[in-house]
Amino acid sequence: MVRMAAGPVRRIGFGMLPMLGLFTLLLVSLSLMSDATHNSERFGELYSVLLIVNAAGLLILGTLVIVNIVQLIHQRRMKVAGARMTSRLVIMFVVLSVVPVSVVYYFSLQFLQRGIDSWFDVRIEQGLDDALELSRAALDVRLRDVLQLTVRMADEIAEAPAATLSLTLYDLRVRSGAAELTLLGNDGRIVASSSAELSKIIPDQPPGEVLLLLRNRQNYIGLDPVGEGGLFARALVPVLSARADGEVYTLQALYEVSDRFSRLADSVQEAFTHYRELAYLRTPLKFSYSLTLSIVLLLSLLAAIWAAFHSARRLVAPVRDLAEATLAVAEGDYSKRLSVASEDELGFLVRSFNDMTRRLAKSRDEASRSQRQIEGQRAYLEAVLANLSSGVISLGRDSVVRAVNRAATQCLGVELKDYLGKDLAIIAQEHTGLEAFVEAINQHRNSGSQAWQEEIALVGDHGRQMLMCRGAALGTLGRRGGGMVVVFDDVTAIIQAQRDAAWGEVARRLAHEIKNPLTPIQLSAERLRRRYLGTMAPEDAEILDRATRTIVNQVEAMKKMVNAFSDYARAPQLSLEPLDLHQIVQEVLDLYRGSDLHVRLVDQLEAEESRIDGDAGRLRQLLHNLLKNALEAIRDAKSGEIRITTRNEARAGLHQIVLSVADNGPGFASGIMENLFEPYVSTKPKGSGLGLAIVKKIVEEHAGTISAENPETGGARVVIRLMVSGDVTANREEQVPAAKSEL
Amino acid sequence: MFAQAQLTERPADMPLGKASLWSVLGLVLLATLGLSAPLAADQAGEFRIGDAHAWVSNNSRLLDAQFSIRLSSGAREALENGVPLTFELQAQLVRKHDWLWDSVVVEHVEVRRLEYHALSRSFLVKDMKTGRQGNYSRLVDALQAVGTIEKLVLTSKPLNNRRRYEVRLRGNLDIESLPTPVRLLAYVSSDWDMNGEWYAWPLAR
Repeated sequence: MVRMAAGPVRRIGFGMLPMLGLFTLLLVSLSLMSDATHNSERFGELYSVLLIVNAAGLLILGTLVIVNIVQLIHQRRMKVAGARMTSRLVIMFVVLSVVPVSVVYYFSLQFLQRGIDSWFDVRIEQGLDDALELSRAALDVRLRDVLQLTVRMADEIAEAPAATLSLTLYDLRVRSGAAELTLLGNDGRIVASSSAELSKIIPDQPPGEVLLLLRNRQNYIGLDPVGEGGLFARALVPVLSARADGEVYTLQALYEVSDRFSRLADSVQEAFTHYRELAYLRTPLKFSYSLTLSIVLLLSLLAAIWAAFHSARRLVAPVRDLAEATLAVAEGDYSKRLSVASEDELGFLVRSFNDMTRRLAKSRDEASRSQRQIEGQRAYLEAVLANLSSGVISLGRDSVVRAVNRAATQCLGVELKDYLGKDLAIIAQEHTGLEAFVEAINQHRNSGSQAWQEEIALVGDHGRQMLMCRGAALGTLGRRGGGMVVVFDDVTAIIQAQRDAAWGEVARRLAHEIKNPLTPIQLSAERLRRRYLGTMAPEDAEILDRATRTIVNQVEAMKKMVNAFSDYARAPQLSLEPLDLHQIVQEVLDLYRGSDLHVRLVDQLEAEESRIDGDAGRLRQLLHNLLKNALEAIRDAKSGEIRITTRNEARAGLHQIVLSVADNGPGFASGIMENLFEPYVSTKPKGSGLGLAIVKKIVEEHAGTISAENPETGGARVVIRLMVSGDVTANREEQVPAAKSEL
Repeated sequence: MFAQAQLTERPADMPLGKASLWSVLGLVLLATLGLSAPLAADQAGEFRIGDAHAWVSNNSRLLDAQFSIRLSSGAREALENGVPLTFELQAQLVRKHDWLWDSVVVEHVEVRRLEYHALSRSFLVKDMKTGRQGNYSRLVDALQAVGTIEKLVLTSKPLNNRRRYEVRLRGNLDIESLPTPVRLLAYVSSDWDMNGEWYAWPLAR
């Protein structure tokens, strides 16, 4: 796996131009050095400088190469993109350059050694030695002649008088052809001298070693190289004079070797010396040439290695960039664009990569835009769902709850959010009141109906509740069993309103159709009584009296009943105002406590929050109806007890006050439990059947709920739930807060 | 011999250890190229002061000196094979300072060339400044002639009596004047080591 580097691979080394400059400089320097090795006048003095320059250049190149190698190794260890490829290319380039260069170096070295050796020939050396020896022999003959001549001149001087020494010397010099004649004393001082060169004042003096030789009165003859190529023969001979002073003079004679002879001897000497020097320089020369060649080799090798690094990096750079860019794309950065540096296959690859990233970026932007749109639609849907007054439940394929809204929670009285992602059946298991609801949905699911509508009755703590459910299968592309959405409304109030309206109509007709004939009936019965009661026999009169009384009483009863119905049907005008429920309860209870009753009234008003928005008169009527109902229920009981309690309760986010009126009577008859709060439902012989219906009507007018039950401990209990003050408005106006869904 | 030699003055700030520097660089180069080999010395060269004397004549400071020179084996071999050897005799008049570096008041360099004349079997010594030449059949005599300084005028200017001066002498073989192929070897090989140390003595007031 190639790891990304923190940045682009750092390039150590000079750029192309400076390196070319360095190579050129080194090549020129090497060329000059090669020239200097020939001992040429021009560059001979620069040899050492050139050597240093080349060494420094090599050092720089070597350092660059080493740094490059170390860096490459480091990059390989760090697994930098392109490092391995660079290594392979560098190794390939180096091998390709090292092998031919090494072969050339080896053979050049061989040629160099042999070439220099071939300069030297034993025969030439011998010839030169012989030529030198011959020159010496020829000169020796000449020197011997000169020495004899000088001895003769010394004899002449010995015999010459001291006063004419100078003239004698002059005469002898002219005759002998010597260049200079000098007569030296014992201590080397000049006694007399004669020179062919008139300008020469001080004669040439013999070397000290020769003077030592002469003290032994020996002759001396030698060659003196003088000036530029000239040769002189120097002869020194003691002058054995028989003069009175007894001093032994020495005659020094300098003879110029003939021009031709001197030139030839010089030529031999020069050739011999040059050859000797060359022979002597053979090994150092080989070393110098080898050194130069080695420097050339090193320069070539190092330059080749550097060029290998440079070329490899240039070749690998686009591949490395591609690798890095690919990693960047893999990490989600689609903005990566590479510059197209060449028109070859790599350039094509880079262009393709750029196209790819451009399209990827475009696709990503489109996907992002689509996602935003979907999220917007989803938010819109959620808002719509949340603000729907109808409850909505969306089910998945396996009847798993996918989405619910707040209205659904409020409708069913169960926090449906907790069941998201769970099976619908679990709701039925935990809330038995919703069994019918869940069962109906499952039935429709199993039947495979695409759309259905059903009215479902639920019986729970709140009493009987009617739901109008509509379901639709959620299919994808016509597939079935994809899921279902269920929309339902609590139509209990509507049905109740319809029922109330029906009962109102009944009451109105009763008033109209029944009540109107009652008065004539009553009047007719009273008229019969007045007219015929006094005229009839006592037995008949008694019958008439009983009959007419019955008619009048029954008509009166019917009138009362019709009035009661009329009252029930009449839509009251509520005047809601904040009030304390506890206070109302106490006031009503006080009325009952004052009367002589054989029942015990127990109140446990424990609700901390008892303020509600209500109509005090209607609430008193409600309490009266309930208490009357309870009193009638325990009329025959020995120790009757009516227990009135209040408590606070929070359900589905709403604060309620729960008012409970319980008695220890026989309880509600099981047959009427379902229609307990319907009008004209009663088990009492004298009941109109409107008491609990009115109670329920008042409760609903206060946006409350009512339920009745027979507790396990016996008796009957009516439970009323009313919103505490402040929550009533919220309950009425904000029936559907935010929905929670999984959409 | 070589009396009244013509004086040559060189700028006082000229580096003194030029040959040493070259030696070091040469060594570095050889070490770099891996060509360095143990070079055994057959005969060590010598270039020391045998006798030196500074004196005053006509308000001039004069110097007589005699170097004792022994050729190293490499130099001797080169000479016998016809390679001329060039010697430099350096003489400096230096002003001493207590706290600062000493300053060179004047410097003279005598350059002498020694070569072997095969035909006459003699050694030629030439003073490169004056062009004077001497022939010697024995190497010892030639070397003595090379190392002789007579009546060299250090300075004709009067010296400050309150200052301290000293005279320095040094002689060495000039490797740079050798044939190019030998130079590198001469720098690094002890066979060629003939560089004398500075010999200094205070100048009498």
